[in-house]
Amino acid sequence: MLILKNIDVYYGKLYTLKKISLHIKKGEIVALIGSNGAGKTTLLSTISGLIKPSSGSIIYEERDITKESTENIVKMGISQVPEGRLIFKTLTVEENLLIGGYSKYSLKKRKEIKEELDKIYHLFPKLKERKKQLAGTLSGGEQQMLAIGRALMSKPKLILLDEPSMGLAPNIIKEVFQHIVELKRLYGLTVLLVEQNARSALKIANRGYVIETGRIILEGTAEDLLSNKDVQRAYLGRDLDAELRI
Amino acid sequence: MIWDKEKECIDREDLKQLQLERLQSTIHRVYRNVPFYRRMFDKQGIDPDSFSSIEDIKKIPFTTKNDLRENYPYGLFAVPLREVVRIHTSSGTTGMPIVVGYTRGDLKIWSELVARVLSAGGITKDDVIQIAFNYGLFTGAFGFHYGAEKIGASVIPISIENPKKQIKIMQDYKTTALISTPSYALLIANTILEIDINPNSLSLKFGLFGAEPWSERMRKEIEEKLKITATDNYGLSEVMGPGVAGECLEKNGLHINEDHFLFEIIDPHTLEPLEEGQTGELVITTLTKEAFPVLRFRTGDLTRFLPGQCPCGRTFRRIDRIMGRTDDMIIIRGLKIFPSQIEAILYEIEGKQPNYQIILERQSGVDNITILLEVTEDIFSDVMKEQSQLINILKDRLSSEFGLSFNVKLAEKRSLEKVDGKLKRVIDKRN
Repeated sequence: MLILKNIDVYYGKLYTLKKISLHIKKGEIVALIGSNGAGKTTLLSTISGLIKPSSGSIIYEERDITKESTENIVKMGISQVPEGRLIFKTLTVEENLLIGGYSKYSLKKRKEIKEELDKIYHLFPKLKERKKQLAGTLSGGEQQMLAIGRALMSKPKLILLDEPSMGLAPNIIKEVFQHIVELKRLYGLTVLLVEQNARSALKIANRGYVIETGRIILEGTAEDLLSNKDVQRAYLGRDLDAELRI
Repeated sequence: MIWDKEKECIDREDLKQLQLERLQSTIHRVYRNVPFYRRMFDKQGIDPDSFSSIEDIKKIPFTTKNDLRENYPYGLFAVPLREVVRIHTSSGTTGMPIVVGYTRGDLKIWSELVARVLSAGGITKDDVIQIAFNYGLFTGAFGFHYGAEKIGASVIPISIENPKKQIKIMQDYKTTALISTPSYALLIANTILEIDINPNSLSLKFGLFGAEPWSERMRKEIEEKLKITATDNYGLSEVMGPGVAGECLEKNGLHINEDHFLFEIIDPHTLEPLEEGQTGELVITTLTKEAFPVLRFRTGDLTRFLPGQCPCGRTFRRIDRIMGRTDDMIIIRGLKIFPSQIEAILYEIEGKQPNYQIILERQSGVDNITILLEVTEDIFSDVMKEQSQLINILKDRLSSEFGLSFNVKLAEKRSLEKVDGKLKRVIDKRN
């Protein structure tokens, strides 16, 4: 569905992404793991067209989108959920969602947009309860769901999730990740998931890539990466769940 | 049956992308973790960030068997030893073997790939598999063992035993598949005929043979004598072990597990890549190995890429059966012997540089090795008794060195076969 080949990105003189090649098949959840500053967010923003690579190609559904505008990329069905959610705190929940449908908006499509809203409310009942509330008053977990819901309003086929677990309590993280699995199941969505919380990400992913200082150093099934000693040492930390079970 | 249809029937374009991704990450890991490769890259001025296609691999110098030997034992490991869960060696007979290691992840992939090769050769979970390879440092037995268990077949880890015992177990345990070297399979087949057992009374259906070169004629002979379908497979410890490539039931070449290994075929003299169909030396790069990755390893094995697509549905390219070795290395009954090792012993006993020739022959499926030793007039004119004494000393010494019985014959001066004025050191009459 999405193929990146030899993507090079410079921030000024800084060589931040070095010949990144990766692929995502339709219906897959792919996790991109790596530490702070490894280039994960840069990579997502490059796919969305917010950053232009200096060389390399991005092929989406057999079309070269390397030089497309972000607007067109969103229309083609790629939607990014930014790190830190970046919701509009002074707008209501519903207004935030409607903004997400902006690229599809026209008067004739009001019914369609309403249906879309209902689907999202069905997926996240909490958002329905609070649709008139200002987004800034939501809890962190609810804000993350709102950010995901907003991305869904453009009816994406591929969703790019940037650190959805950031700043959330462990039980909320669990809930957010369950929702991501639901997205795949109910909407047939394909997901590229960027996470520092490698264990949670790999637990729901099919495959993963490990990125370090702008280079991909490992690719494999999520299961293999979870058991890889390098990955364990660098990104997984202690598995308290497993330790407590013993 | 196709074990992993998603991978083995992958679209060629998708495969190229996957190979590129894996090559890039392998190069980064190897550059970071293996001093030998880091020095090689730095010395040649190769930037590990400069690989943007599979073809770029040509920038990397070849890794030779000697490079592996010089880093004995653990010099080329890309992970710390505490992450290695298994150690094997290449099947060198004497001198320095090559030590290879496997992480837990490597072992998992290894059994997957062997499961593919076994399935391609007809094996299913209903089979009873007799593994007649030596269980030990050699990768053959353990490789097949875990692959067969992965499929869910019943494994009989009999190892190398006398043929009669193999046959008894085959009869009693209702073995349906035999895994061994082709020459050993033929030895079993001939023994079955000798002791007058009707091969139709056995449950045997399939045989997967490898670890030494064999011919189409030999396949026919094994198939007819054992009443089985025999397939060829290829692997080597330096790269992984069995599971690198294997034939499907179409029996028209060995499918390479291309999602894990990159194959090149080069002219062993000019080192230039060869076209599809041309025979040359096989060079392998591992794409997923963690503990012991190799870049452009010169296997010394001669083969060629086969053109066209296989009717079985697998999209992986095929190589022809291994046609021999680039150097003079002799593979006999799964053992690897270098003429130089034999020479050293002849020198030791004769006390001077020997003039000799090694003849390999196959008689009713058993490989025999004969040394023709050219002798000077003075030895030749000596009494018969002394001559036979010399022969016996040589035979004993060679046998104890290699664990294999040798024939030794004396030849008159200048009687050894020459090609273009040069003495042909090894004459292989087996195929």
